Amino acid sequence: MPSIDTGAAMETAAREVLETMFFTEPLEEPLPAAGPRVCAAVRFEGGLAGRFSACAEVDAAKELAATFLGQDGEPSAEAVAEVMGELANMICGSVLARVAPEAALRIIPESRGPCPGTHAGGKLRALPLAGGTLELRLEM
Amino acid sequence: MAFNVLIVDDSPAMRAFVGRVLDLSGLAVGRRLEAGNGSEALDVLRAEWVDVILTDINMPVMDGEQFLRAVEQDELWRSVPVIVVSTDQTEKRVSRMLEIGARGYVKKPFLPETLRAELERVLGVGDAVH
Repeated sequence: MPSIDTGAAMETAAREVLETMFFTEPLEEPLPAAGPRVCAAVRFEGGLAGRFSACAEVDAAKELAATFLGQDGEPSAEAVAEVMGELANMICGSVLARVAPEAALRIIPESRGPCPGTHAGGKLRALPLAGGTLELRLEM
Repeated sequence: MAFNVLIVDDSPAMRAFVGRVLDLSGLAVGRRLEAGNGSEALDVLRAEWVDVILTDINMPVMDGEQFLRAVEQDELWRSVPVIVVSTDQTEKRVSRMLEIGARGYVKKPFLPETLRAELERVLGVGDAVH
């Protein structure tokens, strides 16, 4: 297990991805949990093995998707899930580059769609966004 | 002169994002062609003239490395510059893709300006100097 602070690495990576490709940044104050969520998970293997997931409350996920795709209207559920998958993929890649820069790793999509329920374990980081909270979890 | 771009990525969302970056870039983009993996991209190359290729690495059926090798083995296609756009940020991977023949490598996440500058560099247009 790397000695680097993986929680801090997750937050830095997420901020970078959100600012550069979603043109948004987390709010200062945490938000109360509310409503159903959309989740995407990837697993990685190679020099390190594990799983990374990104779950956002539905309104936050819709906003992220609309911004990423440049859509004025509400994106479809399929498009929202697709964008959440890309978000998870990019944050995971960015985290792993910080945690294990020398490792040859492969990131593989695992699942995307409505959140199947509460998942315990791993390192958790929650980032409040305008439409709701984005929760990141890294297990390795 | 407008140039045709082939975007190779298994994610429709990422293809849409890259397409939007191209639309807003101010570059003279002609046709924007898309493929969901390396195999589909080879089919596009057999049917269309392309001036530059943007490809992901991790894709089903035929990944970006296999696709790049196939492009480099073809006498005609090897003249088309390939820019890799990937979440894989390891130096080992970047070096390998450049050794195989990629002309550029853009790490996701990227600023729209970064992709534009890389396109200008490999196409020899604009005022980008790297």
